[in-house]
Amino acid sequence: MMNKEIVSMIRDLIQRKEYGMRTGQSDDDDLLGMLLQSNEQNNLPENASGTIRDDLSIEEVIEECKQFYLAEKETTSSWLTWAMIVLALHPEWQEMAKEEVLQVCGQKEPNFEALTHLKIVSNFPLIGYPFPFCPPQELHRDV
Amino acid sequence: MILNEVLRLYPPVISLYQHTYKETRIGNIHLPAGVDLTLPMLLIHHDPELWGDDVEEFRPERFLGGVSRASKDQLALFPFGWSPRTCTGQNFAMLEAKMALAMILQNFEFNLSPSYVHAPHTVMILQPQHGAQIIIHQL
Repeated sequence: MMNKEIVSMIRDLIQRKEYGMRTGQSDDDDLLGMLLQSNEQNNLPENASGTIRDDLSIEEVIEECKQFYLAEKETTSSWLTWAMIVLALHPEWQEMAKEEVLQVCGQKEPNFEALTHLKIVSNFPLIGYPFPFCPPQELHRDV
Repeated sequence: MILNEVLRLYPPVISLYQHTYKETRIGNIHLPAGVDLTLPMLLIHHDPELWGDDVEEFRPERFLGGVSRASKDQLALFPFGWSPRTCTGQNFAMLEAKMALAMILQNFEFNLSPSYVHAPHTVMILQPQHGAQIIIHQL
């Protein structure tokens, strides 16, 4: 039920994006645009002749959208929502964090370098992958 | 320290699930094929034996010495999971959250509306059941 609803929302999103891209009202340089660009190759004649497909079907684009828009966006936005709530509850920490940000960045938009200096905001380590990093994935069915 | 403590208290994903497709060994534990495994991050993050009696309090200073020293004996913060299959978006999410929070702090001061009711609630993701009514003042 929920899956049906999510899929139909994403289909709607894709249709509006495709229409926007066809009519030039929308660029293809955002994430959904790039996924759809890959799908467009699907329609090229040389791909119809049994060559190995390296592009995405619409169903695959929908699955990727679930990953990016739900797994990625919803997690981070709930995290930030809780951060706002606890900082509202603890004004002393809000003040300390603000002082650190103003000290490191002033009024400038923070860049990567500045973000690594924000320890009160977060000192969670960024993980470094040993080279060559290749996370093992095992297929349990045909993909 | 603040964002770590937020992840400890309110991990967006509260548990992870794995399934053994074949006989598997984890440390000293032998598992037959077909077992469902759960890593209940929410419970681990709220275990007083790992974090101390102030486990329910918002105390970002527990992370002053880093993530691995914040809990007793062993690392106990798994907001992104662990292992080679740890969240692939971890670094991106961390930078995104720091960037967003830093820009909010540069421009706004905020406090809770009296209508806010604290009710953590899971609909796939841990979220405030009745919304987050926050009053925002531009600096």
